[in-house]
Amino acid sequence: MSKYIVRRLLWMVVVLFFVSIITFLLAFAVPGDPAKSIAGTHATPEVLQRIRTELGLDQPLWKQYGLYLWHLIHGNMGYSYETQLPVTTAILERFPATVMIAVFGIFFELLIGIPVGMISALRQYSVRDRAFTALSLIFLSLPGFFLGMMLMYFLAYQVQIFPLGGYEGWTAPLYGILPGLTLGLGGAAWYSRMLRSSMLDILSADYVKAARAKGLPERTVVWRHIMRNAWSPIVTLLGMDVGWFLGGVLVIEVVFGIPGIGWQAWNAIQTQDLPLIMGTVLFAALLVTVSNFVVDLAYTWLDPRVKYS
Amino acid sequence: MKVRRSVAMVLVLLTAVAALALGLTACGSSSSSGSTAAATASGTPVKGGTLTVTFQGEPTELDPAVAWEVTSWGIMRLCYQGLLTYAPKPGAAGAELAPELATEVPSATNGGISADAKTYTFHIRKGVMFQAPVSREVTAQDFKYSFERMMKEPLAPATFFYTGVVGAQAFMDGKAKEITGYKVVDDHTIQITIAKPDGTFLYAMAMMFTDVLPKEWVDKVGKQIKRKPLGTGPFVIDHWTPGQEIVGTRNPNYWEAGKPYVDTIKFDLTANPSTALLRLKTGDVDVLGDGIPAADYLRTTQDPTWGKYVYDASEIATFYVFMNVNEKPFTDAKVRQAVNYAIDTARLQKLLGGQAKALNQILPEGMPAHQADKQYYTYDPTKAKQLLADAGFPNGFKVTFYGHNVDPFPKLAQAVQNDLKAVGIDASIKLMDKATYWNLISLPQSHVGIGLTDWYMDFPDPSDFIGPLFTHPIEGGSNASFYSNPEVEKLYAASQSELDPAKRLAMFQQMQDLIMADAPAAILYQPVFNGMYGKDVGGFYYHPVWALQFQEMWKLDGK
Repeated sequence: MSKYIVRRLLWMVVVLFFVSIITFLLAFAVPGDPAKSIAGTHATPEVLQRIRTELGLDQPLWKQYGLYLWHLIHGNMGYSYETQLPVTTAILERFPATVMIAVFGIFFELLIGIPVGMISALRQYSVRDRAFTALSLIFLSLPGFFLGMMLMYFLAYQVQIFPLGGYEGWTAPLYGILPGLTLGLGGAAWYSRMLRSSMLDILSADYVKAARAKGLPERTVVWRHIMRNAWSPIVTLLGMDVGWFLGGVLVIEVVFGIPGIGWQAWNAIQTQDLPLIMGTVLFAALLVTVSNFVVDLAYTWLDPRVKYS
Repeated sequence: MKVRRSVAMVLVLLTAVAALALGLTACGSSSSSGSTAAATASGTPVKGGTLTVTFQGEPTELDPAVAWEVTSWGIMRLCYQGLLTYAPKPGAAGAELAPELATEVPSATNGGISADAKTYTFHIRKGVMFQAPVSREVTAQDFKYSFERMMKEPLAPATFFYTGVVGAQAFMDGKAKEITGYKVVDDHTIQITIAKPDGTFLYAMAMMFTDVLPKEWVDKVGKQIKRKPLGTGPFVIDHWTPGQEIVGTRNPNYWEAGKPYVDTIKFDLTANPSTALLRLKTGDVDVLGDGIPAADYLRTTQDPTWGKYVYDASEIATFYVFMNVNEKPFTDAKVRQAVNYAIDTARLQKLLGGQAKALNQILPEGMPAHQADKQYYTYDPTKAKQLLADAGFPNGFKVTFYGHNVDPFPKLAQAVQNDLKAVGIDASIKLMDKATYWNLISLPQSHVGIGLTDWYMDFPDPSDFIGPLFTHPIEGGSNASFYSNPEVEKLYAASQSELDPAKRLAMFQQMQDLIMADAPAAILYQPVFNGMYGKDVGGFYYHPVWALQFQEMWKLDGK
């Protein structure tokens, strides 16, 4: 097991290394000029040249990448071209807002998705099951920005329960509820559909029949026999969501005015702020790989049959 | 059964929340209190209160040496000041230079400009204090320090405005320890010598790049100066929470009697423009920093309650189609003129709602030398076809039409594409992100024939348009048409040292005539800023140079 963990960790480093190369090359494949976006369209060529020299943009590509990697190994993600602030600072400043949305998003996904999925499976083809199926389809196909605007219009403007977007830090969690609900309603549909189908598979299994036949209370059958085995796909989905949400959900951030890392990265792309793009991509890639890793480890705990070697 | 009950409980709870929300929707109604009618620039200022302004996203930095965008400037004007500024008035009156920390605007009559027009003398106001914790009087030495700091800053984008100062280039190249042409005569007098007369030098000195800041503060905070500004202005930047807010509070040391009006100005950086509008209506927000979103403009102006809080102001800027005179078929002036006749600019302006107004020349309204009655080209597709035929393209031609992907460029590109199609020019549109685009069209080797661009005023002098856009084409410059006409170049060079303002303006009008006849550009429109403020805001106006002047607004209720 420990061998497995070490191997996985090494693979993570390899993955991040390739992510860094690909991002770097992609950013350079775009024929823009960061100096131009720093100085603005009015600046003269002399000014642009001075800025390029200052940022090292006149160096050959391999040298720029080598230098970047060298600094990265030493824990330095470089400085944003635009603001000249350390990339690490820029990301960590914005990360709490992203975490808040992710936490609320996942909370609502599970809060809605799991009960709905369970009811749909246990009462297959009932009116409720069909209603939930229809609702799931609706929420799956509603774009986040539309749902977000609607929620805000009705629950923050018409009825002023929630704030009209914005973010005031973790001390004001009310700001996280509508963005979380927007993410959660869309996401819950996935969870409920997934849980429904995985539970339906299990419901007809022999060991469930056996459990019922030996007179176990329904509650025990559901929670100890059915759910125990139905969790796996949910955990997989959850692991993916954690990585995805923490990488910053741009649409939600922009609609609700949440200053998260997604929005920051989008701005960085607009201005070709390469160090900040690199930093955010690596950070997001790290989160995805780590959460996948944690999910894999969680399987061994959920299902003792799973063994890694 | 118990399972069902616990699941059901969750659902009941959720339904309850939803029902509660819906129920409230039914009986909820907006309860905004009716306040007095809106006051704009007129009216008596009221002291006290908090002004809340929304922006989507935050400024890159608040360092006057580096920042060159309107959001940063709007916020920086709270705290930084320079020798000169502009009259605090809307419209053309606001393009007049005015003293800020200088006692007067140097001129030949007050002895501020020498007879050879090369030496400028500035007298500095006495008793102006830097904000706490520096809290000492501003001297001529501080201005010199701030100027040299800017010229030495590697990321300073606008040093080229000031390389005419004697010794500036040598200082930038590291060959001199100071800028010899920038002299401190005594604690309250500065003398600046420029190499050759320059009619725009005072405008350059009114830009924020030359604003004063204290050396000891810059040394103390280091790179953080970008986020920890300290100057002489009416508001102290109390804090900047990245991504969330920037808050300015009244500067108790401020030199101008009776100012500022409000106690606090809060910039909320988390609002998307649509929700900002809703927040303004609920009274949480006083001013929309980004203006009204285009999609909400018509509805808002027609709204009986809110229509009167909409404030439209022409921006001194020009949106146009450039045509690269070195790229076929735009090498032929007839083709370029044909494009001018082919575009239905009136329809295009209509398409943009309130964001555009008619403009048929390079120099926008509000810019000196603009000629209100001038119309170089009118919409005339028949004439366009005729010109194309004369140029040897009776059946038109195929071309790629370039633009960046930020509103309104995609809209404009489609409209122009349609109009060109009608006269036989088959244009395929290519859009890209801004950073890529501006770089692409500035390089001759990109071989971009035709595309969209815009230009916003730096200072109210026609040289700021004619110079960078239609003279001296260089790689990486702003002359996207790569247009050069010896006659225009000669006039332009002569205008630089012409000191009689009337003669100078006539020269620029002549240059505009020449350029428009050659048609390296097809002018589309002049943009309009659609501002909006809340019911409790006084002193709101749009300044032609500084845009929104938050530090001069007040709250009608003083809250």
